[in-house]
Amino acid sequence: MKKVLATLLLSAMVLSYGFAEGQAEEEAVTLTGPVEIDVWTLFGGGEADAITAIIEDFNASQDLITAVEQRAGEGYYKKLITAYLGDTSPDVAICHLSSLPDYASKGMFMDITNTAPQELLDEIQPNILQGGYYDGQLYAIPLDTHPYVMYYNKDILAENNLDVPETWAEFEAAVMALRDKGLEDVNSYYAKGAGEQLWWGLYNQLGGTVESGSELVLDRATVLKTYEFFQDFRDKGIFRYIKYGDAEAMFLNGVSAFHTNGVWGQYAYNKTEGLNYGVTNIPVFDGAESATWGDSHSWVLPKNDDPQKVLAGLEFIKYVSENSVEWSKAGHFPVNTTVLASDDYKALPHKSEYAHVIDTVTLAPPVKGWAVLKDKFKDVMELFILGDLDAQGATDMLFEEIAAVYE
Amino acid sequence: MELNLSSKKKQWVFAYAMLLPYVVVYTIVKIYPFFYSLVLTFFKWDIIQDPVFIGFKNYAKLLTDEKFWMSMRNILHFTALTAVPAILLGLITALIISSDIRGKGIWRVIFFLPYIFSVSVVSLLWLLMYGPKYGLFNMLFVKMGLPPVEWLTTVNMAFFSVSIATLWWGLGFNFLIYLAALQQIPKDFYEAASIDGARWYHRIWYLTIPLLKRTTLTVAILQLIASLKSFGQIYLITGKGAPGGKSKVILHYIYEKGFLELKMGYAQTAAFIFFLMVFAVSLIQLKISQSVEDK
Amino acid sequence: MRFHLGRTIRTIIVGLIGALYTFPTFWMITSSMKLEKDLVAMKIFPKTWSLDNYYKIIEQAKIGAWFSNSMFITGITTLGVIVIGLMAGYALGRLKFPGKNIMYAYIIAGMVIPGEGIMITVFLTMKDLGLGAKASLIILHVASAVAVMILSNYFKGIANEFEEAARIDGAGEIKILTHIMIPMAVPAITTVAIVHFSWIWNDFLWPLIFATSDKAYTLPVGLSTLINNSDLRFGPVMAGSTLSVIPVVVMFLLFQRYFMRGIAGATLK
Repeated sequence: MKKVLATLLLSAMVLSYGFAEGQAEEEAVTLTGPVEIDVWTLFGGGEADAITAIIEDFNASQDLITAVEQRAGEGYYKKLITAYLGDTSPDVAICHLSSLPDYASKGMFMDITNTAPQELLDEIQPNILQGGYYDGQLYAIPLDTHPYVMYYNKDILAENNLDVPETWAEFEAAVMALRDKGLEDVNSYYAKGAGEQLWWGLYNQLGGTVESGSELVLDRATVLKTYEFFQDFRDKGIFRYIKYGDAEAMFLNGVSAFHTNGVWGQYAYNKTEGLNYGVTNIPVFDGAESATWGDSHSWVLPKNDDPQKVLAGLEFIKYVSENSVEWSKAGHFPVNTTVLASDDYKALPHKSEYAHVIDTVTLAPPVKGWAVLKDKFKDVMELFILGDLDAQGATDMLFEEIAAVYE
Repeated sequence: MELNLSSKKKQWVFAYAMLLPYVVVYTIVKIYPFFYSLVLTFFKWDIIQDPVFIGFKNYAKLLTDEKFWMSMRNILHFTALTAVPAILLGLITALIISSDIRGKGIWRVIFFLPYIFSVSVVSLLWLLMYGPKYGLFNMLFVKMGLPPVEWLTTVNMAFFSVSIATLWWGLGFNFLIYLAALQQIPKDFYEAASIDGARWYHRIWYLTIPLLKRTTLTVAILQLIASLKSFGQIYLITGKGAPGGKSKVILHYIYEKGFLELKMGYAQTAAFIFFLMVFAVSLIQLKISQSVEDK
Repeated sequence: MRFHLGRTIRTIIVGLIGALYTFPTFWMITSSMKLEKDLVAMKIFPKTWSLDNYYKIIEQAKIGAWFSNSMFITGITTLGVIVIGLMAGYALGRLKFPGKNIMYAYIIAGMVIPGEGIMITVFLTMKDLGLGAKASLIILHVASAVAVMILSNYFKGIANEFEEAARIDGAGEIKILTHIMIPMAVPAITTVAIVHFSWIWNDFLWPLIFATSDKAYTLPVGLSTLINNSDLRFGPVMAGSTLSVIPVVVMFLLFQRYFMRGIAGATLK
């Protein structure tokens, strides 16, 4: 009897101790004093100005937290890694979702599944938020997404009585019609980049799957089918070898009727006089669901021992998300659904035209090595468009390259 | 305070004292990390987590790694295209500028200037000039009725195009070294030669060039090592090894394996093998230069 | 008469080659003053000259800090390169001592080691030494094998007569070094100075990694953060690089004077 009582007492003590601990953790959820957080961003040009403005507004909007921005462009990830090695990591940093698995899997970032403010997470576009998870835990809160879209020259289409093509069949017909009328360079796009950015959307449209796991395993049959489509268009001269600068030049100068690129292109196109353009999703295959490539700039919290800074960081992220309409002026999609639905956002040029694209964004799968894999996609496409490979050869080369990355 | 070093021992001491600052810093900053890297070649390391010992596995894998050997072949290809022309161009330019012409100061600036541009600027400039449709060169060719050139779409053309850009960029260095060396040649040598009736090309061939032998050997070794370490402009102008990654050179390969694929141990192994090759070549060159000097 | 004609013709030929050679540079400068449209159209001269790109850059609050960081780091490092390189180069070039060849090989070995290849271990080494950003950058570059090679080569080429004459006059090692060797080596020293000044000035990766805040950036790194990577607006890039290049050009012009003086000095007996 004594033993039973003792055990019960002991268990009660242990349980109450655990309970009290839990209580104590819950209580430490508020900021106790002024806090400074280091925020690292990798933007340049107009994007950098936009984010800096938001950060300054954040600092002005409240008294407790001061966010100190450090910009780093080329070499950003190297800097992030060396900072981790040198124990000088920032409190908050930008990270592309496509790179998240590499760093999260190695323990560089904090698991914020339980600490991220739920009301913020509820506001984020689900298909993008999902990319912030790795292995079931949340590591990143998305700020934006920048999908691959199709731009078109409204004047050229109007002059030739053409509607905006919605399927690839319509696209082909439109290109051919314009070619017959003597137009050259009807479709401009960055061929090498399309190896990742256009290809990925089409692979998904054709029903291509990715096996779960940390290595990229594609479905060979669909990969072949995707390249076969590219081959068809390549042989018909619709997809040719064009470099990035040339592609933009063709569209900016009003030469090309169609131009596929990321949403970031708008930043320059908006400033071009005399360019009357529209933007929408890339064409879809008959009977398929619309899908397109997109990456996302998101916020992560590198490993941090200071709960105050973690809290401050999350407050900061929340503010930026709620004010991301300013961010969207640099060209990207904000992913905060409240912002997306707001009048301020909808009033911005072109945003309403392609608002629907965000639902079709298919992020890079949560596999490791995307930073180097995407270069492989591009290498294969470059050789393919130049004519050095056919669809089967491209498929084989892609699988070989992927395997080599994981060796 | 005067130092009169009558004894040989004092001479050595003086010499080593002069060498000391360099050797100390150099050992800390280059040699120590190098051996550290060497140790890493026996490990598997993703930079972020702890290294894992794997013995000689990296070396074994490297032997059969086709991409590695391709990048070694590529850098040799590129070096073959640039090393000798770079030396010759530097010499010729220095000879011309040192000869009897006006405005030497201006020419010195003009031919040296590109050397001080950063690799990204040089690469961007030439990339724009080599553009297939809207590049300066092709636009000019088309205007003149000539066919446009595919500057960067095959490996051979890509290396050729980048070589031209590199020679344009790097001229200044060899140029300056030769200029300085030419100043060392006393003017009386030339006067004596022209009194003897030698024409300018005789003077250059029989007088100047032999006098520049030692300098040329120094230039050659510096140039060879610099060419073998080429990376930045090749990466930027070809767009990460176009076409399709086939023009990747060894330093690009090392960078990619280490920082993008996060296989640091393997990357260090490749770097070490590369180091061995270049070191061997340099030693051979040193030996040759010593025997030539002794003549 | 014929003599002068020859010189003029030669000058003109050199001028033509020089003009062609300078073209890309020239294009960079004119591009920096173009508006977007003209850039994309690849025109050589801007339709409208505009300093917009420059204003955008100069407005940047931190550009003063970047510039002074660059000047400080580059200046001190170049000085260090010269001093250390001179000493080592003199030893290798003119002094006799055992182990000379081994030293040579040791130094060449370092030249061969690819910097990018050992970047991480170098970084870790500097971190273990506990050096700050500026100190790390300086120490990193101050021992230059190239400087030693150039200087030792040049020292070797100085005719022995000068030294012998001085020894007869009773000069000791230090006097020979300071009164004869260094003055005679001025062309090589200025070459080393100019070359290293521009290398270190343009160094991109290390200042980025060591900088603890973007106020601590050097000019090239700072300028790069102003340029958007995803759109190829090269107007600002051209403006940035023109700005970045100006200090080095100024240095070069300054050093040129010493270069010229060196020529005169070399023929002094």
